[in-house]
Amino acid sequence: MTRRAALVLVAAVAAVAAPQVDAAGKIAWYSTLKQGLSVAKASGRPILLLSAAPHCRGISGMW
Amino acid sequence: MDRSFLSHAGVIAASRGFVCIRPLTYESAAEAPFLVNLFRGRSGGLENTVFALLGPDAKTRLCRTGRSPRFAFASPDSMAGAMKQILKKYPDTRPFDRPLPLLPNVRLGLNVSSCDSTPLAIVYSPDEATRTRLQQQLARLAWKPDHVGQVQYCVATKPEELKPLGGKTPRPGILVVQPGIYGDRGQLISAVDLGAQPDELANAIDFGLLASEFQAKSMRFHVSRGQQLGVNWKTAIPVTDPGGRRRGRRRPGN
Repeated sequence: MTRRAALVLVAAVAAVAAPQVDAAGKIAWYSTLKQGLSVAKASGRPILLLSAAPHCRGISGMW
Repeated sequence: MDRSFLSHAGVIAASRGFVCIRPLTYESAAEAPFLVNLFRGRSGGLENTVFALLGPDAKTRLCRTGRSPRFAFASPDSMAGAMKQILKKYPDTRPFDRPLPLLPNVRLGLNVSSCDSTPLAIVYSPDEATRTRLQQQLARLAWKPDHVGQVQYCVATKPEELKPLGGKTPRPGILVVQPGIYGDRGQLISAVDLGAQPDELANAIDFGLLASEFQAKSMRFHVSRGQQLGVNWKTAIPVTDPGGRRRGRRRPGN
């Protein structure tokens, strides 16, 4: 088996073995308590909450 | 934020059954008491991050609250397993159209989209009824499996709010923007006007997703370069995290 074919095979196996997540692969967040809590109340769904500051040592653009 | 937990495939898959809320710490005086009530650090004040799993009433605590998922779970796998168990107690039985998740304003929209390395879609119109209609159109798109979590959204009502985009003020409509590295400005990459049909709107968002480019950020380089450039993010309320304050005092001129 050539090296390239081996790499393709490894990638294919990894793709099949990976846990199934939709294409986005990111959590979709509500950014305000007002909106998020009203959605939770109306939908009856539990809440995953993680607050975060959108700056690092006063420098924006990084959590 | 603890990306090892939040980027875990099992946690992301389970999150689809939760309402996920990421309040922006120190950006709302109204939200701070709720967060401090969930988790108070050793200093007694609000820390940079607060983590909780809660019931739909926002009062019932479903795990130990803390600064991050590590306070409650030994590993991302155990967090994903716990979330799946919780979902069994809250079956998804109520029909519900999820609204568009909105950031509070363009300034925070640009910053958060830069943090998340996603494009920002701005619903821009002075007319409330028009904004509501466009938000409903966008919401149908935003929760589709291939779009969920991929784009940030916010609203603008006045031309002044769009100054960070530079150049001529765009016409009202949906503006898809690539945020700058520091999230203090943005570049318009696609737009549709107020009368856009759903397929035109979808095309504009898809084009924004394809055309936007993001570089991996190194915290050390990002912060040191930002300090050289004079970037200085102003929070809405004082930072009370002891780590953040210590670091802030060391910074010259801060």
